[in-house]
This record gives sequence, structure tokens and C-alpha cells, in this order.
Amino acid sequence: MIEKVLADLNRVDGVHGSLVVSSDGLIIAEAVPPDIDSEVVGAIATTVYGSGERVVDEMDLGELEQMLIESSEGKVMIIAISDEATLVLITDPDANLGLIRLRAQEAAEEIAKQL
Amino acid sequence: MARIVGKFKRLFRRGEEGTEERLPEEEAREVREEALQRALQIASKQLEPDELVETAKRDMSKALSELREYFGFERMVVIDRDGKPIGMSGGGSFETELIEALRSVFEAAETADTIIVSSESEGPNYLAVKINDSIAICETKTTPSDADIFMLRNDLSMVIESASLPASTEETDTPYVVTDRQGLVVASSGVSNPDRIAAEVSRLADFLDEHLVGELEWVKLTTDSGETLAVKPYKDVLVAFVVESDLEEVDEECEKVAKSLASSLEGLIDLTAETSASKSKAKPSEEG
Repeated sequence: MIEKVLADLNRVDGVHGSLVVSSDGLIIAEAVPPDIDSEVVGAIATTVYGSGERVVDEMDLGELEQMLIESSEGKVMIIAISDEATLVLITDPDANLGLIRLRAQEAAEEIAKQL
Repeated sequence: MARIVGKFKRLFRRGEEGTEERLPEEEAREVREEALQRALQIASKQLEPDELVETAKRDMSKALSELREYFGFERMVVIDRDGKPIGMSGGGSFETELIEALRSVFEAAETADTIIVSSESEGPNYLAVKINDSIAICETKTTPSDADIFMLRNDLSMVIESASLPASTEETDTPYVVTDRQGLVVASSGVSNPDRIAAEVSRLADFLDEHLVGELEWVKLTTDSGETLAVKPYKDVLVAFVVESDLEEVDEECEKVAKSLASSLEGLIDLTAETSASKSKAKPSEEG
């Protein structure tokens, strides 16, 4: 169950919510609190990830695996699950990124098996 | 100052009393000289040339900001002979077409050293002054007087001469692109297609500014090659650079490289203009 993986991920300190989004911006699975509009987050995450892919491609840096957007109000981490899906995490502004990155990577691998 | 006021009072009183008993000429001259000296002291406090030179040596953009505030300009940019910005102040860079048009006029009219572009009604006016190989372009709401232009020319000459080497010539191992918010390359190193990168990065930052709640602090793009392209916004520019690091240490590494780059790009990036985002942490938003 992808929802179970997301729920486990949300237990990591600083993670506010998580969702799996298809490459066309549709929600595949989500575990987000009611104050988050998952459809809006999914659409924005898909757009910025696509933009990020173009930038790293221009710089010949390889395939984009993780994108982290940090703002004064919080952080959004987008991780590639496959060519068709990404894992999106919303975290607190002062979340411990090192741990979250590792857990998110493990979760993405687990979700990839289930998709 | 009290002494000067006292002497003026004496001058006025005597004037009222009549001209029979005039102050001795020497004393009157002394009063005038003191008053003049005092006026000069007050004027020089507003823009101290020595301080301006010292500021320009450390940070050209900061020196330009002082000039911009002093002359009441909205925006200011100084470009080198190739048209590359070597310092800027105010709300971002100018439109490429405007810069190119002004450069063309200076090129065509070789002896010209000042161009004033006036707008009707309340549109902005532009003042461009050529100093050696550099051109300073200023946007202003008022029409600059001959005296303003003369003073600006003197001050700008000092700033440009005092400023350290343009940051775009700085050598560093870290590949980077500095772009303004419109996607124009301000400086770059170790990147083969800086224009394309600048365009993509500025577009991405624009989109995030529009949709993100709070101020954008960082964008980090990590690839399967273990490299991370980090983008750090400052007030007028975006600095994009590449770091190689493990995932556990990438955030720390980005901070370290950003500091080092900012230091080597001093003069191009006003460090005080960094977004204040890091100072105001709050609860997470919908979009993060």
C-alpha cells in the first residue's frame, strides 16, 4: 500500500505531508493534512520538476533525481520514483533535511516497487 | 557654529543700526569664510569621496547604491566595453534593447559622453554617461541638471577606477552563472551555455516566486551523477552553481560554496541584499 508508505514517511520529524504525483500532475496517492490542497501542490510540483529537468539537462549534469525548494515558510522535496511518477514531501522550514532525504529515497524505492 | 551665528547676529544688528559703524573688512571676511567652510563640511558629509572610494574598492554595487540614493535615481547599472554589467543598484537590470541603443549612440557619436533620454508626462528619464570604456545608465524621475551630471561624472569616475576587477573575470573551480531576474547573464564561469541556463533558472525562480508562499531561499537539483545544481536568490540576481557532494552533506556544502562564491563575486552581488527569508521562519504553507 502506497498510502502506508506515505503515512510512515509523515512520521519523520518535520514532514508535514506527502503525496505521489504522476508525470502529468495527477495525484496517485496522498497523505496530507486538510490545510494542504494536494491537487495544487501536485500540479506545481510537476511543473517545477519539469523545469528542473530542463536546467540540469542544459548543464549536462545527468538525470534529475531530487529537487528541493526552500522558502521562508517551508520546504518542498520532489523525488523521482520513475519516469511516470514523483514523490512530493512538504516539510517544516527548519526540518532536518539529511534524515528526510534518506527516508524519502527509501520510500521512493518502496513505492516504485508497488506502482 | 554658535560663533558664526553670533557674528551674523552682530552683522544684522549693526545693519539695523545703520551703516555708520561697519564691521572691519577682516572680520566680515572671516565670517564669510567660516560660513563657507561650515557649508562645505555639511555638504561633504552627504557623500564623502574618500569613503566612496573605499566602498567601491570592496563592493562596487554598494558604492553605486550610495550614488543612486544621493542623486535620487531609481535604478543604475554600469556596463563594461562588451556590454556586461559590472555593477548595478536598484530594481534589477535594464532592458537589453535600451542598453544596446545607448551603446550604439556612443559608438556612432564618438565624441559624445552623455546621453539624456527624456520621457513625456511621468515616464522615466534615462541618463547615460560614458567614462573611459564603461557606460553608466541611470533611470530617474527628474531631469538631471548640468551640475548633477558634472558631479555624477566625477563620482562615477572615482567609483569605476577604484572598483576591483570585474567579478566576471574571477576564476573559480565552481561552475556558476549569475543572472538577473530577467534572465540576462551578469557573470559566469565554467558553464558552456550560460544564456540558456540563465533563462531557465530565472523562469523557474519567477514561477516559484509566483506560486510559493514566503520568500524563496534555495532551489537544489540533485542528479544521478552526484552533482547538485543550487540556485540562491539575492535581491537583484540569482546565483546558480554546481556542487559535488553526498546527499547527507549537500546542504552544508551549498551554504559553504555560496559564501565563498559571494565573496569572490563581491562587487557584483550586494551581500546585504540577500533575501531576508532566512530570518523569518514560520509554519509551512500549502505549496511549501
